[in-house]
Amino acid sequence: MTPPTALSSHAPPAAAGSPTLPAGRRPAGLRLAGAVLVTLASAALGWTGGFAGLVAVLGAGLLLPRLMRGDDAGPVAAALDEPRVSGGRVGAEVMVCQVVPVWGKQLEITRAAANDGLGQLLEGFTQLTGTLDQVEQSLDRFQPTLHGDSLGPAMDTAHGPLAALLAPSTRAFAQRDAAVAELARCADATGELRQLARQAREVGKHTRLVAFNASIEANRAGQGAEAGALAVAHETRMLADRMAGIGEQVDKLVSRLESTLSAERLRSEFSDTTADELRLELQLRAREALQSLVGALGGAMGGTGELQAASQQLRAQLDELFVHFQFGDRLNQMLAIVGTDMQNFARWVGANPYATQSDAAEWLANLETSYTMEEQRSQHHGNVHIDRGSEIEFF
Amino acid sequence: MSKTVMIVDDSGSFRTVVKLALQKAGYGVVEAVDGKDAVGKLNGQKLNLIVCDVNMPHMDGLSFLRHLKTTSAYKFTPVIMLTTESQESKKAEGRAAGARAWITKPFQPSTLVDAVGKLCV
Repeated sequence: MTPPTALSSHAPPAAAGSPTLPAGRRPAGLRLAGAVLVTLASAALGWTGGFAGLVAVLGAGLLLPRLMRGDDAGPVAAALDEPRVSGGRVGAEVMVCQVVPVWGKQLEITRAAANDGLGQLLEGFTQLTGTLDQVEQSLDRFQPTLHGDSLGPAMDTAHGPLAALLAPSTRAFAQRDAAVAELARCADATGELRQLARQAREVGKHTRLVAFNASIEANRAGQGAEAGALAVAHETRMLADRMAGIGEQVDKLVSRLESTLSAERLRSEFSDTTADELRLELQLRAREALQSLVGALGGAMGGTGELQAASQQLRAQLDELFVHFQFGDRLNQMLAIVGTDMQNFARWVGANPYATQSDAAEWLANLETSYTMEEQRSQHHGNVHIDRGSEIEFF
Repeated sequence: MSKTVMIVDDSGSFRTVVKLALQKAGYGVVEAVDGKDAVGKLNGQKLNLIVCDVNMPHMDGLSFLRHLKTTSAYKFTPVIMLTTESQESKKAEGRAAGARAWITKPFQPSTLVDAVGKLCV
């Protein structure tokens, strides 16, 4: 925004025709200088009191009224009460034309410094905003991962790792099943062993019968063959006894083996926890582990939410800072206007050393038309209340 | 494809503030330093909206707005005036020239973004 300045927007009151002031009368131009500078400086200070650049304007506000009042005992007041002529100029005119441009330069330097400061401030805000954008984008990308509120999809997603987790136990179950099958086959083989034991007992009985018959036949055959036949019968009886004993032992062993290996007993031992139940239990354990993991992720999600809230709060604070920054920018613009007006005013006073009240009124009127802010208009009339109304108006 | 907004303001810092706010909201931004510069940058390019200051050197915002309304390619492009001016007479001038909204500085960036969202074609 570069509003027109007071003197650039209209022709200054003509010097010719301005009435000559009587001796001892204070020039109206100085009254005007004080009024203008105080008005503009007050308008600027109303926003950012203490702003260093306004020292020059304050100086103008303090010194010029004293010049106008003429109640100062210093040399300037003396010059006002009794205008001196220097190089063809009236004393007060000399003061205005020489001092005001210096203030104007100081004002310009201050404005430039403020402008640089605002620029750097804005650059910092820009970088901060950029960083904040990156943080928010990262949070947005992270958020969908954490929104899985159902375990089902997570289980589906983790199907591969879960299968790998179950693989060793699955292999163990298969080996156990194979072992059970082998044991069952062993149990079946015991039936054959029992059959053999029965046959051995039968053989023992027949052998014992044969030995008995042999001993009878030996008694019949006579004394000579009796001893040999009796010996054979004795040996045969012993074999029959041993055969019967072996059969009984085999039978006992088979019974013990059967009781150990019987399919019913094997099944009953493993029926408490079947392979399917163990698989299910493992899956449940895996699900619990996954739930724990999701719970941890949920905690992280909560932390992310807090981070997002903080990010939004920071964003709002940045917006507020941008608003305050705009005030600084406006102050910078107003300083530029004041500086230009001061220079124009000094030139005008140089050309019109004996300005009138109507010149001052015209100056002030033109100043007012050049204002672009309510603050300027308000301070111009000494009314500090500013009604900004609505920030936005749609047509 | 993002919508494009032209910012016309002689204050570089204000242009930056506006640009940041609009880019954050997903808009593309074209900058001009005053009305004359803006006229030179029109070039028939597609503009969905223009945000314009009032008091600027070379060509002020209202003059630029009036020029815009005589240009067939941009006569229907919505214009938001963004200015320190809050006088009703100035607002009336803006309304008569064809502005669609008047935002008084200082403003909340969110206010501008909302207005752009409502008026952007």
